[in-house]
Amino acid sequence: MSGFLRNDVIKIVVDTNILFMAWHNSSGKAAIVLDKAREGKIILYAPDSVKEEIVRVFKRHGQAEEQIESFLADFPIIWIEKDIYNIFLNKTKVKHNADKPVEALSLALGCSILSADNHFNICKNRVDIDKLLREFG
Amino acid sequence: MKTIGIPEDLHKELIRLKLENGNRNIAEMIKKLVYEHKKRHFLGNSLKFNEMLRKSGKTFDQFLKESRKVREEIADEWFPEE
Repeated sequence: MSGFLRNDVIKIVVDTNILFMAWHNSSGKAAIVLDKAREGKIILYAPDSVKEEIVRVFKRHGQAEEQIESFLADFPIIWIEKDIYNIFLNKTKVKHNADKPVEALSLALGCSILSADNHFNICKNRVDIDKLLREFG
Repeated sequence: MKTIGIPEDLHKELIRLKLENGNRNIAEMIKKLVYEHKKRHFLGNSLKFNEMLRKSGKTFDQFLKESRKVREEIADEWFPEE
């Protein structure tokens, strides 16, 4: 069993890029991982800042509230409020302030990070998407 | 466990589908139906996402860069560096 496995269900913190990549390529690796979450094989977490980012980006692209809600309903993500991960922000290793919520949440929950962003390479608990997919054969 | 009331003809249809699909029970079959519905929902939104991108005239990489700026904006607002 890999380090990121807990009680046979993989728990990971995802960032915005993974979600956008899944929408962009519905048969790509990110979409496959998110499909595993739909099957209940992975539990996905994300900080509320990720949700806020998606909402703002879609709004700036003229998407209506209803459509944004529809996008957000695509993935079974457990959104975590900043009160939960705030105290871990100063324990993060990532350089940029914008990346800290994702790492802080992973530290708060004790689980891995799944991101397409190289900024997270410094994090020991970052999981490689290919390695993650190999867990499912 | 919860019980839901459904019309008899729908019940018959569900039993028929369960046998047809070889599901162990109705709950397993409904779970699969829900999964398929969510997958279709996602595929529909994937088309809408790419249509939105096409209309904006931006590449996906440009879109991600734009999103990165929004991420920085949120971080500045929510977690100002001391």
